[in-house]
Amino acid sequence: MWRGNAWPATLLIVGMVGYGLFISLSMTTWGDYKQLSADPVFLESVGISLYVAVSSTVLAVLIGAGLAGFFAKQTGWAAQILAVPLFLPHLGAAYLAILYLSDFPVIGPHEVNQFSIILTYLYKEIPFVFFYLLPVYRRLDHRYEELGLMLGLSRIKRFWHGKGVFLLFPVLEAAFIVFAFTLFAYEVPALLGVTYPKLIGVYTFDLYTQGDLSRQPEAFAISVLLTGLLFLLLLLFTRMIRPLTERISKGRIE
Amino acid sequence: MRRRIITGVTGFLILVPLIGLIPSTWTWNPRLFETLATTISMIVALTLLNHSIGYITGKAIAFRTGRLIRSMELLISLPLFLPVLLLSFGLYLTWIRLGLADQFVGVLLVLLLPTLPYTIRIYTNAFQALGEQMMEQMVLIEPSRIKRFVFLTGPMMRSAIQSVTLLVTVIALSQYALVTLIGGGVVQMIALEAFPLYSGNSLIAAKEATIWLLVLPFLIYFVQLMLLEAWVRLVRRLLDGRYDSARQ
Amino acid sequence: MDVTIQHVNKRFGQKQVLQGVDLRITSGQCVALVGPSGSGKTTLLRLIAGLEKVSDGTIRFGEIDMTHAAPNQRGVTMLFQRPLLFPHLTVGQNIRLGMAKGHHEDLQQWLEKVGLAGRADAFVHELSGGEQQRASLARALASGPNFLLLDEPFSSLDLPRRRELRTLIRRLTVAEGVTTLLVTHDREEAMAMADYVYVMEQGQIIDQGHPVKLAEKSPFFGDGMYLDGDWYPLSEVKLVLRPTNGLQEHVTITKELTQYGVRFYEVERETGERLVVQTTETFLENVTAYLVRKEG
Repeated sequence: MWRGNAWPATLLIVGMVGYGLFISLSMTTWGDYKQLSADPVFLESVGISLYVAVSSTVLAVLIGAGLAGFFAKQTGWAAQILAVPLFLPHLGAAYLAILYLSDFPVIGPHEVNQFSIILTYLYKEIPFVFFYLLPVYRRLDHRYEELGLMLGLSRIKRFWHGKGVFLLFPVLEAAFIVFAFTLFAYEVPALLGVTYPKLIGVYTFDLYTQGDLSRQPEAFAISVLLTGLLFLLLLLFTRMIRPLTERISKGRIE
Repeated sequence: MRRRIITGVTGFLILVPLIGLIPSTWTWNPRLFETLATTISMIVALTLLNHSIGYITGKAIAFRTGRLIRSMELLISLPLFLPVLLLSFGLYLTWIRLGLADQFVGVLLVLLLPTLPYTIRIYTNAFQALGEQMMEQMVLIEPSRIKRFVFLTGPMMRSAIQSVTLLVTVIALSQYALVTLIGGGVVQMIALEAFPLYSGNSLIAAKEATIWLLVLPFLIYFVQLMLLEAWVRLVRRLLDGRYDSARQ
Repeated sequence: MDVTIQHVNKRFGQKQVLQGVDLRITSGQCVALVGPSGSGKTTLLRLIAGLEKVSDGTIRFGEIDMTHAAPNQRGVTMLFQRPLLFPHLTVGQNIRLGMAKGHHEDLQQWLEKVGLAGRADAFVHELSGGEQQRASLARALASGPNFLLLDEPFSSLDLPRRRELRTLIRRLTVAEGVTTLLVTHDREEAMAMADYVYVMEQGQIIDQGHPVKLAEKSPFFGDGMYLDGDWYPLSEVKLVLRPTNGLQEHVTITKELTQYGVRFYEVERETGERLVVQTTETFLENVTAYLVRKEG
């Protein structure tokens, strides 16, 4: 029993997630989903949310991973400085965005707001990705890359076989976490975004709390739909990556 | 040389924006202050729950094998990838039925969803870094679980404990939507007061609220740091005392 | 191509790791660097590979100054302590990595040479430690290097596998004409594999010579042991003595002795003179042996 017990956590989490999903599902009918797929407001919201989420994720992961790789050998002050945004709740970062970016000349009415949302996310997520990937970079065995060099591999191949394969899964994981977060968040886009089109988290939440009761099934339907889609995406990813990661973890025990 | 440039640029980009938080005047916002009690008790309760559940779960994931534990690991990570806020719509109805809606405990439980997965991950990494052999060694040296934690395992996990508390604090402080929904406006946390200020007119009021949002995590972090240091010092003194005769 | 190292120093920050190192490796030879941990032998190896930069001094391959050349320009390859096969690739894919285009059919040959025929599609974790090192060896040699550098590649193996592997390495490197540099703290290994040994301590070369001579005389390398024990008579097996020692002739084995895990033979020349020789083969049949000393 000193080996710990994963049951309480699993039951709590699966219970709440499962129940939330179940109840949401029960409040909807098939018709609600059909309606959604034709709803232009909904679709536009999804579109803009994807744009923001993908941009934030790609930038945060590229920069965060780059920094992690750069500072892996010796962190020095970099780690301390990069840790600061971790202490600031997202709301606080939103304030900074309001402070500095609301005076910007308007490029296009929507662009600025999207831009400020993305910047706010970057301020918080780059440090997150950095600290998430730092231990992974530290644990890399440089001799694989040295072997690649001596075997005469091209630069790209050297990177992939020597480091890339080992980094793939953690990087994708970090990316997925950031993506899911930025896609569905409420607080930051609620403060920084425009009234139309709303990002999907804001749209759905406002639909649920402010709209009349007749629109609630819509909100439930959106929850179920998006949860389902992301869950499928998750399954897909793990299925595809599984053989690779298994080979790596098994071949590494020493 | 390149390293210095990059550190410099990074430092600049991160620290300079924070200048906007330096207060020129200071006023006590009484409403913010009221929410402080609820906020802090929520954070404390949430942190304690996270630590206790995270510790035993992280240990299990690190040291147990088999398909069951792997599936559990995946399931536990779910909230990281799924829209928690949207799922809480359904949860709210359940909570109403259970009498947990608009209650402190109701909000507490829901706040576990965005926090536990991170906590468990941190503890899992900490236990893996410790290593199974080290763990077995400790079990043999000190069979009593409480003593083992106080004297051995706990002090070795100081950085994990710090990270968990920080993460839980920051995440909890930022939750406006979740707390508003499940707490029904009855459970007042600092975010609920701060949020409307941001879309309001007074930038100064917003600034003051943000200062709280930044100060609280730092404060909690450093208080915990000192507590942990004191803990280690106490443990050392106690252990030294035990082997006094051996020393002389 | 001979390797010449002259007056090489290496500093890591303030720490002087190598000082005034001079050494020479004759083409085709197997040279061992022996010494306790921290003596700088692995660092020297890495300098020769080009994985670290020299602080002072020169490294020449033949006439060409390679002091500042990148590893992939030097025609070197290395075996580390751990096999370090790429875990996401099969054995076959690993070995083919370094092969030039158009030589990919040679994969089967290489697998056979290291005794892994038919394992091309296996993944790393399906192989034992010894098998992994052999695959690693195939990968290294398949890339057609001029020099093979060995950084204690036997440490993770048990004794029988060690012996197997070093015989294999010797046989293949001689067949392919690959010069070999071995780093080890194990005297037996140096004895069994090397033509010449450099003894290092605290970043400097303190002694050098033929392994057996060193074992007999050098306080740093051996403890003054000499060949003793029981000699077993053998006869009518022919050996060819190694060209690098200036001799090339057929001799008859009169006695055999195994010590330090190595077989020594007393042989008789046509002239009646007796010599003690050493081989790396475990089975004899017109094999190449090299001279240890003259008897008498």
